[in-house]
Amino acid sequence: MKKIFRVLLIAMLFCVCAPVVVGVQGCTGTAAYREAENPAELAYVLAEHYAALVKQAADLRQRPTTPANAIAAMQRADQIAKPIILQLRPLRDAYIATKSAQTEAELQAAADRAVIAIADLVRTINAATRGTQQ
Amino acid sequence: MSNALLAMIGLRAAALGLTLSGQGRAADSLYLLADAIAAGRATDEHLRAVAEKLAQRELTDEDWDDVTARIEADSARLQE
Repeated sequence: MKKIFRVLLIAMLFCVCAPVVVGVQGCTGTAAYREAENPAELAYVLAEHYAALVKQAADLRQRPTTPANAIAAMQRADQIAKPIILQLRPLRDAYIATKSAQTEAELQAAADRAVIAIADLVRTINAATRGTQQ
Repeated sequence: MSNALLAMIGLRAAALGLTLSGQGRAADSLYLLADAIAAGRATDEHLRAVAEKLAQRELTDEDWDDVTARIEADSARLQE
């Protein structure tokens, strides 16, 4: 019974939150993701997204009020994410050259990894921003 | 109050509800989404410009050279 209640609660929250999130995405610059018409363009949008975030992280790092542990967390996230992001270009080049199912799958898998890496950097940036505001 | 702010408040409230009902992992996902929206506001203008570029023309190797150089430069600034 308790399990059913939890499932119903999650389903209800999803129904309430999903339209809000979709609506917000429409007005927060995620139009770039919608404009991407193929995996090669998606890879480029991910790289640009990361470029904007790492710039934000570097700016925060240079603020004297940013806590040292928050800077260290952003640095660790970048060390993990940057190789994943930089891997997108050679995989995109291979995909453009051959347009095979294999290169498309490899590029898509790299894009999936990049999304997770970007989310991790976003979390550390938000923590650093909150630390700076305190 | 902006839509983004309302969404973040809603997501965090929903995450709290999930945490209280013992759904820690689901709550983490909602917190992550709320964080992503918050950071998304900061990169809003940048991604909007990228959207316009994609709508107007094909991407070139120079576009990739440019974004790669910016990532390398800002990453080096972050790691200093």
